[in-house]
Amino acid sequence: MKLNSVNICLLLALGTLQIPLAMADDLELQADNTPLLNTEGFKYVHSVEKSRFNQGIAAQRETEGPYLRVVGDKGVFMEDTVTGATLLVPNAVAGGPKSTAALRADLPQFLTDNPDKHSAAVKVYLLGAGIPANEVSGMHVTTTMGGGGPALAGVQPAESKLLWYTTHLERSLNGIPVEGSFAFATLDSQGKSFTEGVYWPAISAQVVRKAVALKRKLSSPAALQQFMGSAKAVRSDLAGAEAGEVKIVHTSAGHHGDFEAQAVYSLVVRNTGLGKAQIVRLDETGAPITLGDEVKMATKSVMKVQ
Amino acid sequence: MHLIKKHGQSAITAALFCIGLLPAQAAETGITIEAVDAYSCGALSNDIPNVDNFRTRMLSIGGYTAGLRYVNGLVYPTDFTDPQVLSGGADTFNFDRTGDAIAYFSGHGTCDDQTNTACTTNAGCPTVAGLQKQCLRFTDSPLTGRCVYSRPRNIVVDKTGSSCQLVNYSTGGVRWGEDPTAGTWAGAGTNGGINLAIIDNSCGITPGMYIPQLLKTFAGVSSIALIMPTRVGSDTADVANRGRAFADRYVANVNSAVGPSWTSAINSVTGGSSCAFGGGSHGVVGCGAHIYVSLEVNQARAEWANRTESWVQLRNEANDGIGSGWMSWLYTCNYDCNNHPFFLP
Repeated sequence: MKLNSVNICLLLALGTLQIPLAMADDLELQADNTPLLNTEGFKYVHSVEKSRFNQGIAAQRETEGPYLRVVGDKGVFMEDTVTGATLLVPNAVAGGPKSTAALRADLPQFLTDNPDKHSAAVKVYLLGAGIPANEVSGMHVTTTMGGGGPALAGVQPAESKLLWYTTHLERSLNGIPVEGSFAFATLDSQGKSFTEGVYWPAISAQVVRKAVALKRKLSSPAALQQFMGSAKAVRSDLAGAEAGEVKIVHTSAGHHGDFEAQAVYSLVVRNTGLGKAQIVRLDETGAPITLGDEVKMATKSVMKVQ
Repeated sequence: MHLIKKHGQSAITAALFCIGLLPAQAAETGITIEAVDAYSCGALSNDIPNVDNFRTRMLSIGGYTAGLRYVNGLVYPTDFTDPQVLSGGADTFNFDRTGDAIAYFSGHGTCDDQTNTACTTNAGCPTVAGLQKQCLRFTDSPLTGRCVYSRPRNIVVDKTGSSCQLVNYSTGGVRWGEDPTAGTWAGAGTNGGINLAIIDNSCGITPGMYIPQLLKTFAGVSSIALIMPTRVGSDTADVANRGRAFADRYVANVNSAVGPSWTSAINSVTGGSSCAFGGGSHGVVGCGAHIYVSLEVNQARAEWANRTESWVQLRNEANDGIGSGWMSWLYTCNYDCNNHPFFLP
């Protein structure tokens, strides 16, 4: 029995060694003619066992539809079993209105007011948990601040105080940003995580290769001009678009329909009149694409009367 | 299939209330969504999916119920205005209904609060009568800013499909959340109801202008959630996943606080572009923040509404705003806005 296990392991090891050799024949080059670093993007699903979530001694597991929760005394760690996305959300501070000092004491205390130190700690944490290091191309923080003042006296915005930093690991495959994936965490003064989220789905080799090919194709100004010319023929508003970027985009963490990932040329199109900026994504032919979670529902509105 | 006509439905509700078939203080659980993509002044594509994704996710577990859903030409300017404040206002039957807890609008706004006037100090910004001003950081090196002003903020709708209309929610006829529990302190009667308004538009609020742009909007609504560009030229991105990222916090933990859920939702929103001070994206083109503003009779209540009120407590009308003594805010920027403060002195 033991011998059989050894043999199986040996065969598996040999098989594993052969995979890279076989794939080497199929390697393509990046835009700068260097070999692809990532032939595909690997899926990582975070788990409460790997999390620094301080779940307490009486944590309960519960399932509600597609949601699997670990309910602790300070918060809930949830996995969306459809997508594999995880989210840690702290409980609200208990009790009713209280003094500012008392509320501040009850809120999570940050690990550090130095964003670089926070990011370094989060990077160690999340890479240690299993985020593929070779897919992490950078980090950035988001910053939570709060303030207030007497309304009639006119509040002073300068009174806003830092509450905590959150650090994000940025995902790229062969230098091409992956939009839709995220891995972030906020660490408290004990180094425990009090909010975090991870969505790191698999990206197929086909999509990665298409993205690399699209980046290579658009690396010449003439080719980009021709590409955009075709796109503008379909959408005249692209004439005012800002310079774009080749990205891999995929459906979002909460989307319960089919997973989609696509190689696109992504542009920001500002409205010349009122309001929001659009993000337009073009496929390799210059045609606009829409992901599954951007499709309007068929539900109709209740009719109004004037 | 078109269902019950809007005002007919309201009349039935009112009649039931009058004859005592509905409790005077029913739980406020409804979620009403309004969104516009079909603009004649610049079409968008993700506002309707955005509000649908929000409400679908919220309703995927118990606790809240479906309110109204109006999109495109069925979103009227009068949906947002109060009948006691502005003649013809009809928010009572639309965006601010009795029985609703949350109302979410997604669509265009206006960015006329931003200017390209360069400044290095607040005093260096030209004075505009009746408006407050700030010198908003634009570059770090050299340290320069651009002047911004407290111009009223707007929701943009397009009822006819041929002409966009503005709804001024700063100084116009907008009052949200007034009901018997909140009282009549805002001069808008007691015929509203929502406890949280979400305004997912362009330039929803200007940094530092929370009082002039929102003080009059509160009439009992506990809090208002918005997107705040923090650099001239930055703006809200038209993304489909913002609403669901917010709802995800509720689905994960119904005992979490609503305000931090809104601000931290920016961490799960994707799309946008980089910020001049690092970071960026997260549903913003450039630099910006999710901001949550609360107004209450005193500091303790305002901070409770802003930082502590849970998704469960949000449904309880006993937690309505009962006065305008203190404003609290919470925001999460898509970059390090602690070391790159908004304002130049």
